[in-house]
Parts: sequence; C-alpha cells; structure tokens
Amino acid sequence: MFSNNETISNTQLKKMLIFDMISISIMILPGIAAAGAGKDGLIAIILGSLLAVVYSFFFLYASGKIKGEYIEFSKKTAGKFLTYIFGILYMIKLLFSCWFTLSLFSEIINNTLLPDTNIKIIIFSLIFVSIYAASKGIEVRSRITEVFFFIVMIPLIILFILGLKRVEFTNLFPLFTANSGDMINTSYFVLLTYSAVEMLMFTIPVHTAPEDKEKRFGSVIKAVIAAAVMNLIVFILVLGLLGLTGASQQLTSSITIMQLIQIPGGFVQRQDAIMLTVWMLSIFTVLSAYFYYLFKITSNFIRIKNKNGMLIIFGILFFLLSFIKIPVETIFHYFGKYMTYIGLPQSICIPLIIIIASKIKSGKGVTYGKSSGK
Amino acid sequence: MDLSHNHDNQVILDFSDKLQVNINHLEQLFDNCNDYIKRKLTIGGINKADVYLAYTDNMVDRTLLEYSIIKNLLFKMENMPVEGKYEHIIKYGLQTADFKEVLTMDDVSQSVISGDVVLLIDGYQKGIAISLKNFPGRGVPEVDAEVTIKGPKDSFAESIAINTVLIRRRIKDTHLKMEPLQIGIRSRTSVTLAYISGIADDELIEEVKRRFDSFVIDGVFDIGMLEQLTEKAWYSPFPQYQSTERPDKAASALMEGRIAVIVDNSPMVLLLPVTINSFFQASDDYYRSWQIASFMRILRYIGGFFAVTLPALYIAVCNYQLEMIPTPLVLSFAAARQGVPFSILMEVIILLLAFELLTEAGIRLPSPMGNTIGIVGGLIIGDAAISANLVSPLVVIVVAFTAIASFTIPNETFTTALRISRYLMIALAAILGLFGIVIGIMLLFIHLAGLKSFGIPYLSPIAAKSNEDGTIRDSIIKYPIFKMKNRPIYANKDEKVRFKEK
Repeated sequence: MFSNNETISNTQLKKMLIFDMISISIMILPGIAAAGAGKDGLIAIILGSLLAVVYSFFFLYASGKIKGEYIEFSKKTAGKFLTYIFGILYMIKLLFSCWFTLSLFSEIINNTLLPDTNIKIIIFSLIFVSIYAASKGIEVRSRITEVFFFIVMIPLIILFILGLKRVEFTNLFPLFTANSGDMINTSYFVLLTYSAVEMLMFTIPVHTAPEDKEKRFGSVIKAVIAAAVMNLIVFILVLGLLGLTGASQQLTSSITIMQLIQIPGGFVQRQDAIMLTVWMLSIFTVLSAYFYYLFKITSNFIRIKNKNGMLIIFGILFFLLSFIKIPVETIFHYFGKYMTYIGLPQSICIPLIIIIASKIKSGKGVTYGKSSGK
Repeated sequence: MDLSHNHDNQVILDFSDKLQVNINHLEQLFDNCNDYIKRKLTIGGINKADVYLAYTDNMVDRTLLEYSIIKNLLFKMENMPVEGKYEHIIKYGLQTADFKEVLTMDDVSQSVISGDVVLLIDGYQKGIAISLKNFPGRGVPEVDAEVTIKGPKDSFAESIAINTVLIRRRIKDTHLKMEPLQIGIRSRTSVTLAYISGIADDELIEEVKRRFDSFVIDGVFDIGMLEQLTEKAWYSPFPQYQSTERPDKAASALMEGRIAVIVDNSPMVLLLPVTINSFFQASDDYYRSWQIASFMRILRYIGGFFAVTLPALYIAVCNYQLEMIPTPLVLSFAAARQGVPFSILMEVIILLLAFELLTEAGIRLPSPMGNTIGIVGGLIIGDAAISANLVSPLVVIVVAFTAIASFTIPNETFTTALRISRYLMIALAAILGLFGIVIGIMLLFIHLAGLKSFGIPYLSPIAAKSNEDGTIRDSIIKYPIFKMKNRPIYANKDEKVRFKEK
C-alpha cells in the first residue's frame, strides 16, 4: 500500500530529470551552440551530451556511496565546517540557477504572452506556484511531472515533425569548420545545461527505493539521451529554419521557430502561444525543484519548524531580486561564467571530497540509518 | 441532571432480576413517549411467570408479533417448568430464529428504539430482543442521479437492511462481510462496513475503523456527515470518498478490494479508497464494448477539462490573445458583442452565477415546477438578456457548453468541486490570460497530486503508476474485460488476480 514515504520510482525520476534538463536547454541551447561553434554546434551538442552521460555515471556512482541524506553524510565524513562551506556553495548555485530561470521565463512570458502586464506580477505568479509545489514534497512534484509529461512532450514532438519538413538542410552544412577551441568550449557549455543531473546526489540516497537500484542506471542514462536527442532536434530546427545568423543572434531563438511553424489546416493562428503555454507546465517543475532543494539544504543547517515559512522567505528573496533591473542576457552572461568556473567543477569536487573523506575515515564508508527524506 | 445516562448517553440503570424494577426503569426512560407500547403478561400453566413485552409502535410487524410470539406465550406455555423458564420460553414461545440476548438496560432500550421487541422475564437478569422490524419505507427505488442506458435500474434506499440485501444479492460469497458499527451517541446510527475478506486490505479495514472510532458526536444522519468527519484533507473541495446510489457499482467496488460504508437512513453508500479515475467511470462502461466505453471515458475527460477551463479560455483569448483567433471570427465576435455594456469577464460571471442560481433553484423546487424553471430560466431569461444586449450570444453558448461538459462527469460531488475550480481559473485568466490558466491548472494539479484517499494517491494510476495496479487498464482507455486481469493496487497483495482463462 502507498504511504507518505517521499519515495519516487525510476520512471518518475527519469521524467523529472528530462524536464529539469530540457525545460531551459531547449530554449537557450540552440542559440548558445550556434554562437559558440556555428554550424558545428551540432557536433558540440553531441560531444557535450556524451560528456553528460559520463557526468551522469559519476553522480550515479557517487550517490550510491552516500548513506542517508547527502548533507548529513557529509557532516559525518568531511566534517561540519567543510560541509557548511559545501552547503553555501550549493545554495549559491541553486539561488543563481533559480534567479536565471525566473528572469528568463518571466521575460519570455512578458514578451510573448503578456506584453502589457507588469513583469513583477508574472514573477510573483511563478514564485507562488513553485513554492506551493515545493512545499508538497518530492512525491507530489514527481506525480505532477508524470501527469504533464505527455501533455508537454506531444506538442513538442508535433513541432519537431512539422518543423523538420521545412528545414533547409543546406543551412546545417558544412561541418567541421569551427576551430577545436570553440568546439571544446561550446561542448563544455552544452554540458552545463545538463547540470540538473547533480541533484541526483540529493535525490537518490533518500528518495529512491533500494530495490530499484539495478534499473536506476538505465533510467538516468535514458533521460540524458532523451534530452540530448531533443536538444539536437531543436538545434537542427533552429539552424535549419533561421540560418546561422538568426540562430546565434538571440538567446531564445527556439521561441522564433515556434512562431514560424504552423499546424496545417490549423484554426488557431498564434500557435506559439499554445506551445509556450504548454511548455510553461514544465518550467514549474524545474523552479519548484530549485526551491525544494534550497529548503532541503537550508534545513540541514538551520532547525526549521515551519517548512513553508522557509520557502516563503526564499520566495520573497527572489521577488525582491526582480526589482533589480538587470537584462536577462547579462544575468545569463554572469551565470554562464559562474557555472563554467565554479558551478560545474564544484559539482564534481564536492562529492569526490566527501567520498574520499568517508573512505579515509572508516575505510568502508560511514554508514547510518536511511533518513525518512521528509 | 440525568442520572440514568452517562456522558456518552448510554443508559446506566441497573438491569435487575426483578421484573418490576426493570419495568419501572423502562417507563422512566420512555416517559412521555406515546409510541412506546408495553404489555405485562402472566404466562404458564401450573408454574407461572410474569413477562413484559415492549416495542416501539410502527417499527414492528404487529401481525408477526401477535401470531408468532404473543399467541405462543399465551397458549403454549402450559408445561412451563419450575426451573428453566427462560429456556422454555425460547424453545416454545418464540417462533423465529432472529433473536438475541440483552444483558444491560442500555441494550434493552436500544433494542426497543431500533425496532425489536424486547421480552423480559421475572427472575432473570437478562432479556430477549426479538427482531420483528417493519419500518415504513419506499422499498427499492429506481436510480435517480446515476442513470445508465444498460445495466440494472435499482438503487439504494434509506433502510440499511434493504441496502445490505441489494449487495448480498450480487455477491454470494461467504467472504462478504457486513461489519456492524454504531455512530452517534444520541442517534446511535447503524453503520455497516461491507468488504470482501481476503480481497480488501486488512490495513485499510483497520484504518477505516480507526477513523470512525476517532470522534464522538451526537448524531449522524447521512453519509455526507460521516465523510466530513473522517476525511483527512477537510480543506479540499474534492471528495476523498465516492458516493453512489447504485448497488452494482458498490458490488463492483467490493470486488476490487474497496470498502463500502452503508449508513442507516441514507440512500447512498460510500466507497473507499477513491482515485480521480473513479469519478470518470460510469457503471455502463462495463456493460458495453470497450471501444465505446473508452470513447465515452475520453469524452468525459475532455468534458471535465472544458468544464473547468472553457470560460477562462474564452476570457483569456478575447482579452489577451485575440490574435490567436482567425480574423473573420474576431469580426464575428465583435459584432456579437456590439452594444453589450459589460466587459467579457462580467458577462461570463453574470451568466455563470445565473446558471448556478437556476441549478440550485431547480433542485429545491417541487418537481411540477422544476420544468417551468427550466423554460423560464433557460429560454425566456436567456433570450431576453440577449435581446436586451445585456450579454452576447457567444457567452451564452460558452456557459451552456460548459454546463453540458460538467454534466458528462458521472459523480455529482466531483463535478461540484470542478465548478468551484472554474471560478479560480476565470479570475486567473482575467488577470494573466493564458498564463493565468496555466497557473490555475498547476495549482489544481499540485493540490490533487498531494491528495490521498486512505493512503492511495488521488491521481493514480495516471500518476504514481505501479505495474501491480490493475486500474491502469481501466483508466482513460478501458481494456476489454478479459484483459483486466489484476485488481487495483489497494487490494490485498495475495488476491491481485481476478481473471484467468481456463
């Protein structure tokens, strides 16, 4: 019988990962890849995705070494002081990621759906719903993802099918014209868009059932591959329809192709509005994940009686940040730099340090009872 | 201060072996009750015994009482022994198998109030409660709210006895248990928990009993009260039980491992646990081909979606995304709205509220006037409002279609919850257009995803899927009966398989 055990299945984990990875990447990756490596952005995406598979393997391995909650395990192995530093680093990363996502999508909504509405109302709505979802726990988030998964994916697949028919394949070639430095840089950037995989460190040890372990590897890798395929298709669409100049000029060139592709015999005219409306459903799962993990990490350092109170504080923080008028391109620029030099390296170094510390401390790894995950 | 009852309203007067003491107690308890019928008799031949009969008027079958009990007591007790009078009376005086011993004054008084005939015998600190119930009732009525084209037409009635029989007729299995409970310290309402032992999960049965035992209330008169007293998410407008007036639905639910709660004087039965899927299932889905049933189910889900979002979509598209509509249609909309003084939002709210008023009035009015309201409200007022340019014809179509869509859902309680959600959608659409509708849908689904009915996620099997869950094949698409081999996830793990080929 089901119970309130905050445990998710492999299928739910897979779907949540797909949403976490592609919700933002589909919007910005074609522009990044085209600007970074030109037509070889295709190769960069393939390389970056291969790196993402390796990246995922690392987290699957590392999360398997964690006994109980990640931060609690870190306290016991690496020590409290170091864990505080790790916690702060994770929180900075989540805060920055959440801020960027909020800024990006509030601007997209403001520009495409609600040009006459104050952007702060949009931001408030995004924050409110995300906090509500985060307050319900990971089980509820995973169920919402399951419900909306096909509702979001089916229009996307229809978009792909209709768009591929109109693609000018001459825009995609020739390949292997970019220099290797640009290719590597762009591949690294592509890898950054898969950074949601890092949250497996927080999810797998306490929110998955041990008996699902065997099939979990397959589920995670399938999620990464699915995200990679979708990213590739979107890149092909953007480059094929807009050309290199059109693709590289905008951060969110994917929105433009939504406006270009029409459903044949369609009654409704602005189909991008419908597409974007449906896409918004996936954004909330990503944003609620950020709030959820922010709360989780904070609760490991501060005794919090009222979970909702903490989430509201984060919500107010982000809402206040929206008063700082910084263009989303600027936020993206600094966010990109942060992720390149700090975000991604920390995501590998921190778990490595913790695992090495656990091995040094006991020789076998520190073990203690599995937490309830609540 | 009442010295005859304790805090839980139970009678605490002594049950004596002296008949007169017991008579005095009963007359004290039933003082000022003109429906309390009593008779003291002296029976026996050489060895006599004083006996006392008590019952409530119009609750017993008097013909049976007089011919099967009183006649025997008066004319067949000549050989009454000196010792063992009680056993002799049972053996020769009672021409019925349905009786039980009562050992306390509380049991005696409850038996009298419940429609039994109580027989007290002098010299014995126990009595006999003879079941001769014959309540006034309307028999087995026809279904009213859950009408189907195919399938049985009988419905539950107010009598708990009739309702249990209607289920027993459909499940002739000794594992079908009808566990009696009593709720309400004054109403002492009879409640029956029906389940199939071995199929229903034992933990579920215990949880139900625990919840029913977790409160003290003076009276319960309908399943609705019980529902409110025992549901965990009391703040949610969405029902966490399913109520039905159909015995076939109840029997089918029991076969799936669910529990039915039958409350005396209530013509509906509660089924638990429940998922959102259950509210979109109709009985005749199982009596017709799977293709038709699947088509109807999809139609209901679409109806449910439109019931919640159609007015909001209209407002969002007309106020924020007018460019989505083809130009000829925009011009047609504009022409239809010419001269209407209200905004689109106001039009929609006015018409929706008018519709809600009409619906409510239609329920409360006596049936001869109900049709009149339909004509007056629907045709005359609607037509007059359009002619007076108070509302546009388009809004009337939208609201009417919304109403029709909401009536496709078989469960009225769930439909009402969706109706409330509709107003949230309208408010959000008015503020944020299509994005507001997305916000509303997210809020709704987050709420539903967090709901559970006795531990079962509300959105299963659409979300929280499990390979063991047989309802995957009975959700949006209904598989053929021979493909629905497993019971739902909440059934006993050892009884998952319900269909096998020989």
